[in-house]
This record gives sequence, C-alpha cells and structure tokens, in this order.
Amino acid sequence: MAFSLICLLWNAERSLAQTDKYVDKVVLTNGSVIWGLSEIEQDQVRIYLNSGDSISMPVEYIKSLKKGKLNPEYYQHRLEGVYYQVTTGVLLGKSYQYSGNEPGFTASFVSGYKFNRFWGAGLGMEVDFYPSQSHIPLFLEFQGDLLRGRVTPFYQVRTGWSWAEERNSLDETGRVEGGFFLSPALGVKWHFAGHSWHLQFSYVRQEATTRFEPVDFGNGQSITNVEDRVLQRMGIGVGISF
Amino acid sequence: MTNRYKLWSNLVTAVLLSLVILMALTLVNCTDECQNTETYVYLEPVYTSASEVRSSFESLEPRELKNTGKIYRKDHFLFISEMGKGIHIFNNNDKSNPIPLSFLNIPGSFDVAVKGNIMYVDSFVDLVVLDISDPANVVQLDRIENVLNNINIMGFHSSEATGFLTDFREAESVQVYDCDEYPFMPVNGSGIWVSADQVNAFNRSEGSKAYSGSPGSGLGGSFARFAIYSDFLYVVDNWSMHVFDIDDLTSPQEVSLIDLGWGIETIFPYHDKLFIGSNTGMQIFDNSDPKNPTFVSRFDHAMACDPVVAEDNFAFITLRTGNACFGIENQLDVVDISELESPKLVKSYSMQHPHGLAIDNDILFLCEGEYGLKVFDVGNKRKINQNLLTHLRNIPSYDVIAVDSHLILVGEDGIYQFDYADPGNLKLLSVINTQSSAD
Repeated sequence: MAFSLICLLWNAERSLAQTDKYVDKVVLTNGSVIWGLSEIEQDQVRIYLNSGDSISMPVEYIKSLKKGKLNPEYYQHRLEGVYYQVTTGVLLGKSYQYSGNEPGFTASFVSGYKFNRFWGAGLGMEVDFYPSQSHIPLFLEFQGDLLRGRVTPFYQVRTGWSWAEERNSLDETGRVEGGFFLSPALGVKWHFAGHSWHLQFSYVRQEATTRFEPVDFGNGQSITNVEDRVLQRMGIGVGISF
Repeated sequence: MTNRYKLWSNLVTAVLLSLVILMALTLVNCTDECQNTETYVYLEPVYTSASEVRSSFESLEPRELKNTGKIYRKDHFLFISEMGKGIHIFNNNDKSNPIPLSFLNIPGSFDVAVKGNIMYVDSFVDLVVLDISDPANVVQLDRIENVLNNINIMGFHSSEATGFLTDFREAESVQVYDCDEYPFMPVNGSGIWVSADQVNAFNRSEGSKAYSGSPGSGLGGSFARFAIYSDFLYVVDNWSMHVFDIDDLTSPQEVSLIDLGWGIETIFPYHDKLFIGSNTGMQIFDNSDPKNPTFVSRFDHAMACDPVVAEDNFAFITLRTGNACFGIENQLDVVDISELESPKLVKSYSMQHPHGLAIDNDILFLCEGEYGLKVFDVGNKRKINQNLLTHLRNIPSYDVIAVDSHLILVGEDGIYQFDYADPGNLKLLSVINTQSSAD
C-alpha cells in the first residue's frame, strides 16, 4: 500500500515536471485572468502560457499582475481520475436523552474514481469507536467539489453496512450486530499540488442491534432483552486526498 | 477565472461553511434512537375455585411418585407427600418391597399426621380429616375450612374471589419501550414469580424418633409442620401455632392460637416439649399442659433454613444457604438444652449443604443435599466431625426418618430405605423411584 502510494505520488510529480509550479497571474481590464510567465517589453506585456504558446498585449490592457502564484495546472489534473482519501476525526452525540456527550473516534479510507471535479464514486471502509460499541462499515461513497477554485466546499455521501464488535460492560454482556450505515457530509477542501486537504462535518447514522444474554431466574423464568439502536452522531474530521 | 466569480465563490464557501458549523453545533447534542424489546417468561398462576378444590378429594389407584415432599411413618404404613397434589400410601410391612396402596388426591397438601386410623392433612387453608382404616379406600370425614391461612404463604395466594393457586403455566410477556425508560418491574398482569427453592424449602421434612407420648400416632420429622402429642394436634404456619383438640379424632377443635413471630418453619415434639424451628432461631415450649403450650426460651442463630431434632439434653440444628431462607452459613449447631430456660451452644460444625436430620441413640443422620448422607456418632458432642461413620456420596439426600434401625430417606430420585443396625455400614433395603419432574 505504502509502495503504491509512493509510486502514485512520484508519477504525479513527474507529470508535473513539465509545468511551471509558480507562474504569474495576469488580470485584464475586462476581468479575464491569464496564467503564465510574463515579461514586460516596453509598452507590451508578453505572457508565456502553460501550453507553450505566448501572447502579447499592450500594458493598458493589464489591470493587475501578481508574480509567483501557484499554477492551477498543478492541481487541476488531480481533479479527475483515481483518488485515495484518508479521514480521521471525532464523533459527538449521546446514547441516552439524559446522558452526557460521549465522544468517539472515527477513521476511514476510500479508494475511488473522479469523473470530474464535481462528482466521483468510491468504495471505502471506516472504523468507528463509540463508547460501548465499535463498528466497521463498508460503504459506497459519492463526493465532489461544489465550486471551481483551489479552495472549495465539497459534498460527500456514504452508505453501506457495518459489522460490529462485541460489547462488554461491567454489568451486561451482549452480542452486537451491525446494520445500515449512512453518512452525508459537507466541508471545505484545499487543493494543492498533488494532494488536497479537507475539513468536513458529517452526520453519521448507524443501526445496531444488541442481544443480551438471558437472565435466568430458574424454574423456567427468564428475561431476554434486545436493544435496537440507531446511533446518531455528528462527525468532525480532517483528511487528505491524493 | 474572473474576480467576480472568485468573489462569489469565496462568499458561497463562507456561507456554506457557516451553515455547516451551525448545523454541527446543533447536532452535537443529537441522541440515539433506541428501543428495547424485553421478553419476560414467567409462571402464570392458575387458580381453581375454592368449591372445586374442596370437592376434589379422591382416593385413587396408586401412581408414580413425582415431586415428593414430606414423609410420614405410621405402623407398617408409609405416607409420602407429593407436594401440593396429595399423599401416596404404601404398605411397608416388607421394607424391602413396599407396596403402593393408593394415592389420595388432595390439592394443596404438604403435611400429614396420623393418629389411630385418622389422618390429618392440610389442603391450602383447610385441615382435612381422613379415615385410613382401609388405606386403599380412604374416606374424607371432615374438612375444617380457612383455619390454616398462613401456611405456605410464600408464593401462594388465595381468596374466596380468586380461589386457590393450584398450578402454574409458562407465559410470555413482551414489552417494547424506549431505552431512556426502564420499567419498575415486568408487567405480567396477575403473574407470580416463584422460584423452585421457595416452593420446596418448606416442604422437605427430616425425621427422627419423636417421643410424642401419644400411643397410636405416627412419626413425622423435624421439618414437619404437623405434630401430635397426647390428644392434641399442633400445626405451625409462618407465624403461629394452632392447637387442635383431637380427643374426638374425627372432629378436631381448634382450642388455641399462639403467636410465634415470623419465619416459623417446623415443629418437633420431644417428650413434653415442643421445639419450634424458625429461620432466625429455635423456640422451646413447655407442653406439660398440651392444651396450652407455654414459651420457655429461644436460641437464636443467623438467618437460615433450620430443621431441629432433639435427644436427651441436646438439640441439633442444621443451617444452610439457599434462596428461600437467605442463609449464609452451612453448619450443624449442637445446643445444650439441659437447662431449657437458657439453651447454650455447645459447638458449631461446618457442613457442606445440610438439610434434614434425624437422631437415634447418639447416631445422627444428616442429609447434605447434593452431597449425600452422612452418619455420625455424636456421643462426644465436641468431636462430632471426628466421628463420621459413613458418607453416602452418590445419593443426594434431603429428608430422613430414623427409628428402630430403620432409615427412610428422601433422595432426589426416590425414597430409600436402609437398615442401620450397623450405622457405619448401611444396608439398602429398597428404593421407591420417583418420576423425573420433566416427565
């Protein structure tokens, strides 16, 4: 896995080697923005574009010129194709109406394909630690940016099924069964060369059934309890995509 | 990308982020949806009307023993209680081959006492008088109603309106409730929760040679609730002693009701004394005036089920752990009763799980429940544990009657009879097998 990641990043960097990482951002008086390396020749400005071509225009057409900005070409190619995403964070919520907030921990890994910057699909696995249970959902994910730009809000929807770990507490022993998993999220993504970071807020809805050991009073009398729970949590996570 | 677009993009991003943070702050307190399904399997009482119960006595053909309780011996007859159902009568003339004679259908019966040809049996809250001159065809002579209201009260409820609790049937109650709630206790309507220990605790008996001083009466046990002395029948319930004048055997008359306190379990007559066992101690009554037993003294012990037997100047009490009596000790107490006004503990012996006991000429037969039967020479009251004569480990034992080298033992799977002429080498005479309770 680590080796594959290294290869992936190395290939990405090689393909970017042909592109200038930092270029000039030229804003014209008509509002257009041109990215390239610029030279001022007397009353003309020549701009060398990423494509290798160059254009020249009178200085009067230039509204502003900023040197050394990160070339959008550097991250544009990461907006399509195979992607991997790792996210980690906390889960906040309560098990009972009158209990306090019970923080949990979550970590996920997704592998998918982005058809364009606005939507992609992938398969992922998550590990969610709740106060008295832990779940491992396998899910299908849909995600995408909401806007163009290096910093953009994004959406993400995950749905799948979880497997649960057995629950043990001081006074109860039960067998936990996982169930349906749903987690929509909204957040902000920062695109960089070769990767992007994100901060997200999610809602986690996880079904679980706990079957407790029967309490036998003897003489054929007993009590059996089955708890059907829908865990609802708010997740705050940070992560990286590459 | 134009500046206008970038400005709009930044604005949208900021607004979305703010909305998301606001939502997050709201969701931080979100609570699980939770529902608990509780299935309670319990015993639902089955009531029978008082009139039906009181008209249901029958003398039937012999049948298999099942759920045996107390035993009673009279002459060459053996009376074995089937708890809550009736009495089995055996001809025990040949102890190696007891012959079943009849089964008396008496709902609510647990205790029995016999004098002459008259048997006295409880039937829920009634005292039934039976003519057993022909054991194969027993006849009911009388029924004194509502005289034993406090017997077997634990788990048993009866009233004229509901009738008598005669049986249980398994029932199921399913409740669904929010996990934030918790029911105070399972709701099952009129269900009564009874454990087998509670039902059985007061219906085992242990016997010994009871010097009733009353010719013609039989032998019960130290766990019995019925006893006969002279022309009187004594019946103890959970907190009182009923004294019946049986000068006319066929027509008992209650002449006295004595308050004994709570937790009363057994009565053991010995010469002109009555020893009352309770789950907190032993009470001694002077019975020199059989019509008016008078309290002499008591010996207290830790809470436990405790049958008591006595011989000469000593009483022997077993204490055992168990749900019904909330006991925490398993032991045998030897009490010096030479001065009845102040009984004194001689010594306590740790035991495994002692139930009933019997004594005959310094030979003590002690039932250790699932651990079998132990036989001790108790000539030296301070070294009883050093004088174990024999230990029958493979016969779970609960009840015992010992008289004239004849031992009758209630085991888990049957009624055993032994010859104990050589107490260290019991000789098995016969076994009356009991049917499994699952059958």
